[in-house]
Amino acid sequence: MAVELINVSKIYNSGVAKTVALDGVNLSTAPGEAVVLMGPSGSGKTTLLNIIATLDRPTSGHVLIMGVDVAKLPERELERFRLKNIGYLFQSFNLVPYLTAEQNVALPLIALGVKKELALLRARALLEFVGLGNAARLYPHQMSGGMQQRVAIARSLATKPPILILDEPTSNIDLDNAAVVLGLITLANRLMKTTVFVATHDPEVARIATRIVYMRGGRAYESPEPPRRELKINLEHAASAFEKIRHIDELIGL
Amino acid sequence: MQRLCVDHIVMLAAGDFRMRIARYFLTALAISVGVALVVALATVSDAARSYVEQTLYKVYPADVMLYSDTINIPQRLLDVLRKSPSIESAEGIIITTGLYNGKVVSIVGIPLKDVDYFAIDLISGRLPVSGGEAVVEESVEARPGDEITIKVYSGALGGERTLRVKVVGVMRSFLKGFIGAFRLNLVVVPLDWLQQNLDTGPFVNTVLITARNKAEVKALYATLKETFKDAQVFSQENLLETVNQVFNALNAVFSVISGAALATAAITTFAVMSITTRERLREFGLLKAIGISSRDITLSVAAEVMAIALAAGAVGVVAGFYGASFVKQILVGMGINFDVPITFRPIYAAIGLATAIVVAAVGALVPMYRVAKLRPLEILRLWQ
Repeated sequence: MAVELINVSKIYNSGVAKTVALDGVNLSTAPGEAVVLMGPSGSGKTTLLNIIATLDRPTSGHVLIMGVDVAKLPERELERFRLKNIGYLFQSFNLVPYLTAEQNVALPLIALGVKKELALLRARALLEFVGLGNAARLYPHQMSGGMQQRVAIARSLATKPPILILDEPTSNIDLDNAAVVLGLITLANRLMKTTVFVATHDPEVARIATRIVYMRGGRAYESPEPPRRELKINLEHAASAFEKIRHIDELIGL
Repeated sequence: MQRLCVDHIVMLAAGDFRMRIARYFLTALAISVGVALVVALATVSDAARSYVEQTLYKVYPADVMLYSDTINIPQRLLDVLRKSPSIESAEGIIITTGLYNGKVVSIVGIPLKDVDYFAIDLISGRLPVSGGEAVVEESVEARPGDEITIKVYSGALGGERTLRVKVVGVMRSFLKGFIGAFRLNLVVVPLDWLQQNLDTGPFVNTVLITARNKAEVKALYATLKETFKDAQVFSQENLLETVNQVFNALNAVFSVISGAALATAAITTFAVMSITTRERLREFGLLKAIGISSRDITLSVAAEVMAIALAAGAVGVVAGFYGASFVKQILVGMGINFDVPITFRPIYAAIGLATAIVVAAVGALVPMYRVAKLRPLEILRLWQ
């Protein structure tokens, strides 16, 4: 299993009142699945994503990611685990403002110990993959919101993580860019066999899912109907870039 | 222990540094002012101290001076001292006080055969060659050819004596200016003549001793002190100690001034780094969410602080050194006799850089600790 949640609960205790954010969630995900979490605000989607992303710890239960019980890992090991295994994409502010697009993408790889030149090489290939090969030297303030989000996707795929987590990835960008972003997520999921978790309010996003999980009151309910993956995407530029990425991966040893 | 990769740390530090260059420049300026002050004060203080020490050795020929309130040191002692292998020279003189024309004067009896030893700097006239002749200091206000009468009071001599001397020369300084500096209204006369007129016999009250080996001065000083319990023994080291005490007191004042400047620099660093880390909270949250370790993020902030400190330290050292030279030139230009040699010493660079690093580290410590302790989720919740 890529991710296995066993009876996971998260309770926030403010001293006055207890808030149950997650209530005994069980969820098993095989590698290469695309799970879309849907539900109203406060239903526990983001809490669940944060726990899978190892940014938060459950109050009880087990969280197994790639077979490792992350709830038990000390903070320093967790940082390293996150760097290697998890790509995270937020709604906004995904890029370090004073680094260029290629530096932003290369950053996690360099932190992982990959040589700077090779990391930048892979970063440029990933930028080609997201259709921004010409924007490698641009700073975030020189790019539109959609472009920034595409760079962030490239960044989240930099270390070839087996798990990609996206929190409302299309909520702050226009429709055209949203379609591109969803296409890229699907490509990553299909070509790189990345397990994807997406939290969203947007039914359009559900079109990339292999599974849909509804969240309500901290509980998870799987949709009985299989989702219809009807997203049409242009694979041409991404497919050639993907070949280049695979070649670089062999050099790096990823 | 995980291997430390520095490329991403440098990348983050350099990127942020470029973005906030003006702010960091001002921080560096505050630190460099403090460092410059430390270096300038240390440079001037060291130079002045070294100048005074060297001048003291130069103008004061004796290593040890034996002085008695009464004229009771036998001249035979001089022969004994001169025979000692550790003593290069020993000169016996009489120093006593008198009154001329309502003015207190210091009468000094010196042996004429060793007159060069006393380095009398004549303005006019000549040196005394026989009894009853005197060379006087300018401040006595007598001219060559004048005959002056000096009343000598001394309890040890048993009452009042009158000395009549003929002024044959007027001098600017005696013993290369060292004694003259105290404005004693000196009247220098032949020693044997003075002994006759004061009925002292073959006795003196001051002996100036020069050691053959400067390393033995301390031992010589101790021996004389032990042997002549009634006399006072002075060495150049005593005088240097006094000089050092004065300089130490001055340095304490300088330290307070420098300390205030450095404290201001540390507070400035604290304020700037606190504001900066607060502004960068989102960025830190993002970096931590990506998986960049707290250690590496803190190191990138520390690298920036150290870069600021080293730049400020280097500028401060250079500014402090040239500032000291500039101040010296201004003082000399104003006619103040401050001709001390301002020389650069590597220790100033070490002190300057170390000071800058300590000030920056103290100022940035709390903000860096806060960065290290940040939890990504707490930051992410700020904009979720």
